[in-house]
Amino acid sequence: MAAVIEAKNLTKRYGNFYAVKGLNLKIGEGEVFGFLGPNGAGKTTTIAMLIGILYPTEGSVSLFGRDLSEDYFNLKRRIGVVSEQQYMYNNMTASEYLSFFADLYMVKNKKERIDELLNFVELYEHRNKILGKYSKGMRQKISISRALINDPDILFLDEPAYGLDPVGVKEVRDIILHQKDKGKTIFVSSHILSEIEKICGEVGIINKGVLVKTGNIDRLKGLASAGHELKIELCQIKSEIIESLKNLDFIENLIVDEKNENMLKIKTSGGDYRAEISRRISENNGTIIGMSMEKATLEDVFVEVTKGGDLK
Amino acid sequence: MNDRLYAIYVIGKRDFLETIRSLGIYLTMTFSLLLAAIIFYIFASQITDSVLVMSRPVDFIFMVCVVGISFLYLAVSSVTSIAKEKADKTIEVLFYGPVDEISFILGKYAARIFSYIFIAAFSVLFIFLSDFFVHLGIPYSFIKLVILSVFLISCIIALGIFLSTLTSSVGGSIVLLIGFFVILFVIQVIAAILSIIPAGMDTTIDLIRNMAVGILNATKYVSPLEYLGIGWDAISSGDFGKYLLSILYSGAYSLVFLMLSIIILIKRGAKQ
Repeated sequence: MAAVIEAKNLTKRYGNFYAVKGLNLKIGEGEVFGFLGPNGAGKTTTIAMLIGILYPTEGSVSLFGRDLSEDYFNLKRRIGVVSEQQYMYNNMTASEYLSFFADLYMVKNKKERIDELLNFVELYEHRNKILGKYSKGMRQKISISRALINDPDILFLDEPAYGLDPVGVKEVRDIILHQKDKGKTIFVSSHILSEIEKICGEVGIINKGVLVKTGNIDRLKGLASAGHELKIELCQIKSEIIESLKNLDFIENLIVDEKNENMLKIKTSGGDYRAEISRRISENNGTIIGMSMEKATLEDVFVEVTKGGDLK
Repeated sequence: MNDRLYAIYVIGKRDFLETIRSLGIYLTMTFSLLLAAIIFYIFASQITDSVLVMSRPVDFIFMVCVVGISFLYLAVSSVTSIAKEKADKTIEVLFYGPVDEISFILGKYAARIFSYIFIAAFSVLFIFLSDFFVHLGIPYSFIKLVILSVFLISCIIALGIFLSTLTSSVGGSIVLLIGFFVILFVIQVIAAILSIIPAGMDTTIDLIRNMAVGILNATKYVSPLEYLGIGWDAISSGDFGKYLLSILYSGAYSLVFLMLSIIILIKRGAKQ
């Protein structure tokens, strides 16, 4: 798949401080890429460089295989951007605001497109209201409409659900999923990891300006430590069972639960070893009452990576 | 249409429409035309009393009432234009799209030039109507003055935009504008005081005076007021060479400050 967004050795330095350092990234057409990182990790700076509003100190960005400086205006007309904060001309109505951006992007059938978007975000009734009087959720929907006015091939979203209530978060998610269904390439950064899990296939985790991990969400979750913890409840725990299990190569840690003396907590080195562990317990005359494997979430991956851990 | 020209057109159109929908431009025009009406009345009375009226009174009225007052209005409008976009961070959203530093600066500039043309057009109409009743006589030089005034006003717009790129707050931009003219004024006052002292009395004073005169001469190139003076001199003397030179100077001044504005915006970036 051809990369529609590509960053090579992308670096932004302020004095001796690296906001982003040597970031390499390739995102294919139609991919929905989640960009994660703690506050101040360099997410917004990276997006600013990808969309060309901040010049990198080193490195390059190409969109659709071309450097932004080669075909600036045409490439800019093919992207849409939603920022964390909704910066807009507060003295304009929603219709005037979208009309201005439709002109800027040379949108054909401007009126139909504006009406379509206002209906899509359910703000058609409020189209003649001054933007300064809009609520935060309404403003975010107008920001998204502005970003979609040119029907962009790539959509950059920087914390699109920031500060929204649960209904607003769901509405924004639905809009993004609609774009995903249309085959658009989406680059989204968010603090709401559960939202990223629902929307994205691939993620990248940035920490202290360095892209520390990229990959498919399911694959990353499979590598997380939390995904390899088994809880096994037995009728009675015997010392020979513990000794036998400890001799297995893939067992990294084995403890008896403090609250339940018949519960074993086992950490394995990766993969699914439930069958082998069950067999070993039976061989030592143990009786299993219950067994559960803890599933890793994106949050587990995120925490592990940003705390300096390296996924298996 | 070229992509950049198109972006200039869209940004310029938005800013121009915002200007003509705001109260400021109409207050400026009202004040300007009211002052023009008063001066017309005074000149008309002088004619009735058979007192000698100054030569080219209509040119004088246009220069003082229209160019002078528009100069003040557009100075404030220009100096706040980019600072407000930066303060509200709307500049960032513009740059998400097909807008670059050149189209942004030139769009802002074009909007203000057209705002002045809007003011000037109404004022010319008013002056022609008034003259129909008062008969002060509209000389050929008046048309030349109207054309030249666009270039003279262009100087303060370009300077205002340049100062606006230096700050990210509306209040700060106005302080910068006032500060700029205060510094020019102080330099002029110091040079005037030093010129009173006869030369050769004290070598230190001579040195300071020479320095002050040097600085004063240098400030002539950066002060838009100087170009107003050159323009008025060209019109009063009726010298066509001076007239063309005045257009050339004003054009060059505007170009330099617009280029500096673009360079600063590129250096600082749209993301504040």
